[in-house]
Amino acid sequence: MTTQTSKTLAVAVLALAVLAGCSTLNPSPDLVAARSGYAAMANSTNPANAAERGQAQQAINKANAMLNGGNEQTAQQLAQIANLKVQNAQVVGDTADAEARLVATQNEAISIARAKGMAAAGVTAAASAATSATQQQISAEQAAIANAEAQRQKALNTLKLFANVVEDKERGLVISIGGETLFKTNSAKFGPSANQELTALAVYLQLDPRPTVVEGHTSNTGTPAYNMKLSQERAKGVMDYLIAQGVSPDRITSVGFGETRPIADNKTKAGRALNRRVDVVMVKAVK
Amino acid sequence: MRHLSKLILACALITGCATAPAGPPKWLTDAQDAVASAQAAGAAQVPAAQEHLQKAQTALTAAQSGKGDAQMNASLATAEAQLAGNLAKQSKAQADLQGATDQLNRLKAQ
Repeated sequence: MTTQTSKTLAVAVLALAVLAGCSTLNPSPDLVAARSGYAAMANSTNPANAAERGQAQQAINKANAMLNGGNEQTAQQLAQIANLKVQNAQVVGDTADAEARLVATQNEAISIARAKGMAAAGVTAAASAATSATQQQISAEQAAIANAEAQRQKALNTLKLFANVVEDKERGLVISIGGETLFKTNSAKFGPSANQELTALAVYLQLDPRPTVVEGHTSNTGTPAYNMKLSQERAKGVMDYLIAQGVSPDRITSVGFGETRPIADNKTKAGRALNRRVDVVMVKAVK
Repeated sequence: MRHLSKLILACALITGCATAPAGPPKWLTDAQDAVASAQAAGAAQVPAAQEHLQKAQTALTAAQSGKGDAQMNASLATAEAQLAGNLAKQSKAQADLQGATDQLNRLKAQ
């Protein structure tokens, strides 16, 4: 072996070792099945299992995050749950399809019985009763969905009284609350009006099941390190409050960005005030 | 003065008794509710659902015992129970559909 060949081989071995060290863990069979099952229904617009599809997506995201973080055992447990939630969404969707076909089949049977002038009163009455019961169930479900949407809209309107709410095409629904409104100056402790506003936010989050990220942001007053720590503590404080109010910890995370993501000019007082904020991002569904 | 002492003592007793013991965490009651719902939906009588109901009960027992990761076990119990309950509902919907289809075919044949 020449010196040049030895060097090349050594470099290749080193590169492979580095790559192996950096690579993420392999997904478990449950996670592979969950991803595959979810992908098959990712484009579905069936409202009957929309909530279950959302829960499945959240569960997969959580398992993915844990796997990428290198915690294999927890990732496997979360993958198992994610796979169950994907199956659950499929079952709920299939059941709704079967119920819709049942209504159509019963209506067809009634039409045929009537067209034939059959005195199959018992058969027809039974079919009518079953159809009526199924249609009542569907109507009740539709009414519940409409009621939930009305409640969500009402809670959103309440939020808009003190928060800037924007539907961002890339990020999803962004609820932005001024830092001065929520916190004491230079502190992660809540100010006097925070309780009312965070309670309204918690009410909204319980009516909108999307995965949620609480982002902390600051102006450029102070050092970057201080601002980063303050933004992290504030975001976590908001997240903890929301969890205490009943928002599931499975769907919410917090992150601090310090002064790195201003939305206004830090040279002016008004701009700095806008930059000191907490953004609650209701994550857009990923297809 | 004696009345004042009695009043203070009464206030102290009331304050002492007013603190209610903390209930079980929500993730545990969610799991219990999910298992109860699955049972109410008839999961124990549907073969496809039965297995998931049993797994849900096992995971719930583990969560209640506090051994290992109780919250993870409760989440697993909830997921298994929800699937069990919905499999039972799916089974009923499919049976109803089959019955209606048979009835339709009989009507067509008459």
